[in-house]
Amino acid sequence: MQASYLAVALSLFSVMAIAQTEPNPEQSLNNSAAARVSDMPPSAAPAESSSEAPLVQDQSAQGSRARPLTEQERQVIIHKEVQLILNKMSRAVRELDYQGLVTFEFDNHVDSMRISHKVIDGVEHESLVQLNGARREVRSVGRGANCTAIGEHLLRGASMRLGERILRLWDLYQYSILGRQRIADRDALLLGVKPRDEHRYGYVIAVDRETALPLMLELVGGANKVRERFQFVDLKLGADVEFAPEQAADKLVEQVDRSHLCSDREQLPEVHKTRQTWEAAWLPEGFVFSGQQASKAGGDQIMYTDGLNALSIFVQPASEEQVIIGTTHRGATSVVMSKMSLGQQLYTVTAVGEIPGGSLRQIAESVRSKTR
Amino acid sequence: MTDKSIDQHRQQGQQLAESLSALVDDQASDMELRRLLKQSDAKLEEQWSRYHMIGAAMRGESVTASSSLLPGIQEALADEAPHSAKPAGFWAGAGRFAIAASVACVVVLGVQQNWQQFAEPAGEAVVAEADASPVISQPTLVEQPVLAAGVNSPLPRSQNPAIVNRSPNFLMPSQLSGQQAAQKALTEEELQRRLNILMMEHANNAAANSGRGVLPYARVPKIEQ
Repeated sequence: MQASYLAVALSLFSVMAIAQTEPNPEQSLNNSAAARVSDMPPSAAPAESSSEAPLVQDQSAQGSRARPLTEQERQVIIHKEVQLILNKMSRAVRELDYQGLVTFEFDNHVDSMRISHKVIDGVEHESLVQLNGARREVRSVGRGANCTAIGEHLLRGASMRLGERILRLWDLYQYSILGRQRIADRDALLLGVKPRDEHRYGYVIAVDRETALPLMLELVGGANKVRERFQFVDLKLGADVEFAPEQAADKLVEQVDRSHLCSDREQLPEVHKTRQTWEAAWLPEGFVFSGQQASKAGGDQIMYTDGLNALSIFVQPASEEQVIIGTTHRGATSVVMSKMSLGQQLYTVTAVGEIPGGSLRQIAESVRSKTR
Repeated sequence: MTDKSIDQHRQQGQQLAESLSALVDDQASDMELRRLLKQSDAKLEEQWSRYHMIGAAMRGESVTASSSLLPGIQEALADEAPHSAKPAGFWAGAGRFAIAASVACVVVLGVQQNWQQFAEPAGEAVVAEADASPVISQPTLVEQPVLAAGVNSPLPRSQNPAIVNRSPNFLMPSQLSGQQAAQKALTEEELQRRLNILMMEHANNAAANSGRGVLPYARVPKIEQ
């Protein structure tokens, strides 16, 4: 009895692990010296329990029916379950048609916007319209629905290889299921995603139980302070979604393009064809290089992600008079500007990311050339 | 759905099954799961039926308790240990750092309230931190008494007061004494423009690499044209 009980549990986990297996993105990451994503077999359990066989123990428990789950088993089940939900959430955001009003709260400030997402002939049409303050729309059209960025691979459960270590998102964040909540008149499951170190923010995510869309996202910092909160207050789905760009003479429309940030196995993304010329010598564990490109402000942008949080480093040549040092934040976004000199040339290094400012400063100050 | 009906669900052990069917649509896993459920002579179901207890147990509730499944977010988080071992909060330190740095930036991130957080710890921190942070100081430019200046910048201001930050704690290069402020120093507007480009380019990275669609673009400050 006991044995079959455990065997079922084990095989269920392996099935779930299969569900999470991603196409191997390793090839696309060959240019990254810092880290590589691979499709290594999933480890059996979250970090703290991976050294033991979590389910094969306690054989002499007092009868199979009465035997309660051990804490380790609970953790394994929860982490597998939440990882599946995050996987589904990541896909839902990309694949579904949805439109709604979203509030964005940060630093005692509230913004409101209308978000639209529609897939037309396999191409994503996305729009974010600011509803207060300046008239502004961010529009993104053209990304193929199968264009998957490195961060998405990680969020969907792919493992990353850092030197000798194999890491998954759950090695960086501890998952929990906090309960249920009604948001935007919809039934949501509330997930806790808590960082295992102090170098990144955690999340409380309300995932729609029907569609897996994130209805609410809170970034939670030290002392459990909520640094920013996105929340749908209204959501339309499917055929109700219209993607009709509004015309307004005084509106600033910013076209953005992320289609070059794909990291598919078959097709190397353009950013990876670009050589990485700068790197952060120090990064919090689990942040992987996700591309380098020229910045419109001059210089280079080097991108990293751990799957849930992204950071960018901008390296720009500057004269002594132009070098600026400082730090600030807006909501969850930290900005650190520091100075770097390489030979006779000075640079301003600007690190921008949704990670704690102290960690970001360490990152910014560790930036160095990769070419000399 | 009322709390009571939710509790009934819990008692029936339905919650996990629901969350699986509702949230796990990956076809392969779904099929595999059904196959397993068939094979498992009800043991598996039994295990899953216990699942609803896990959340309760993790929250320190009695397993049979029927308390609401709808904890306030803050409350739920409050039960957890703090994320960071540095309860003092980075941002107090950040403010001091910014002030200590000789040529600090007026980062134009849009919201006036941000800066009040920086202002408070600034007063007492300046002197000590300026000495304690040799790494980030630029000795050649530090002569200026850092905190005192800056309130009335000689620089031309942007047209929009909501966008331009006037924190007294941050200095532009050209706010330093004349000999230090070279002609080529960035103006406040140039810095604003540049930082907005960087914020936008970072938002693009975040929108691609943090799994939440276009939401990260909301973080980019709105600049009135």
